[in-house]
Amino acid sequence: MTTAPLWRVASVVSARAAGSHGRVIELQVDGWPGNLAGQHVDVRLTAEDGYQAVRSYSLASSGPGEVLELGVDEVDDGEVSPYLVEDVRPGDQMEIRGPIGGYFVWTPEQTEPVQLIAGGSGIVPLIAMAKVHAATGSAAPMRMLYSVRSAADAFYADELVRLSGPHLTIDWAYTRSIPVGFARPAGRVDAATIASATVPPARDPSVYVCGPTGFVEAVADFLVAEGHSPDRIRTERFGGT
Amino acid sequence: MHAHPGHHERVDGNAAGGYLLDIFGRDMTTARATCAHCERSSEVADAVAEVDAAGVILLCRGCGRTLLTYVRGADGEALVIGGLRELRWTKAVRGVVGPAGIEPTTSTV
Repeated sequence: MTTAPLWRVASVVSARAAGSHGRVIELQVDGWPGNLAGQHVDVRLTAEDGYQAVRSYSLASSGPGEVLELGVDEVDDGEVSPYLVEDVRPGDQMEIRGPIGGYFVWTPEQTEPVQLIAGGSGIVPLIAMAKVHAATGSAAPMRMLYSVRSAADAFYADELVRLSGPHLTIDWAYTRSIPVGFARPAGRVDAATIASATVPPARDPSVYVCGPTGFVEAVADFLVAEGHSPDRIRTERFGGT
Repeated sequence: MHAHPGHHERVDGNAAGGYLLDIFGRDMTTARATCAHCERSSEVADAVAEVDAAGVILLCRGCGRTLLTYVRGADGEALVIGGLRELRWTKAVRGVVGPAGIEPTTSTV
């Protein structure tokens, strides 16, 4: 094993709005070893007085490239996300550590059915999985349930439309307000949503759930109650409410 | 529930992966941690973590007891092994390693 630097300099290539209070940020990282879909990085910011703050962010990108994509939702009173969402500009630098994680990962070698379930910005590692699934022409049936407050809050809405097709079904659940003509009433993901809009346990899917802690725990409970084996459910909580 | 000053979001052990990478020099998120108190054995990624700028506390998801604590201060760093009976890992798991890059996914030990 070669020795690689723990922290690498990352330069902001671009930043664009995502959802109603988030951003998708591209970072150029020289020497980046590549990463798998679902992995995350730690981002370190250093203030002029030397104060440092570190936060973990999932990557929306995967593969061997040196441009990484983060999807960041602004956390009220956060230390790092307000900077990333409000202030960061192309050319700005930060440090990143990673790639990290071998648990919440999907690789194209997997052929079993896959159910992805995202709450809010929990879509980020799952969009990485959906993108590599499409890019490699995987025939593994993949279905995604995406829970957001309203259509305007969705990250990657256009990309999801493009990615949906014979091998990827996307189901939406709106918790606050629904688009005109949308059948499911606004409300949190519940047992009925899981029963009607996810791959049934009989097909023994791998299930990936990412979102705020409360969302992930509620969904995991519904999945187990529906008959999924707990060891087929992989979760990634990112805190918050 | 534990109450700590400051921001201690309860997240997954996966979020502690960066600190553990720093300490162990490899990705430990798929290592299996066994709790001495309740015997639960699961991947580090599946434990409960409280992470902040000062360090990380890893808690057993089975019984809530502290598995290990890592803290970093001006004087140095400390790793305190709490209820962690065993940490077991293989050379490469699901093709993922630390900062050195990605190993073949077919690699087994």
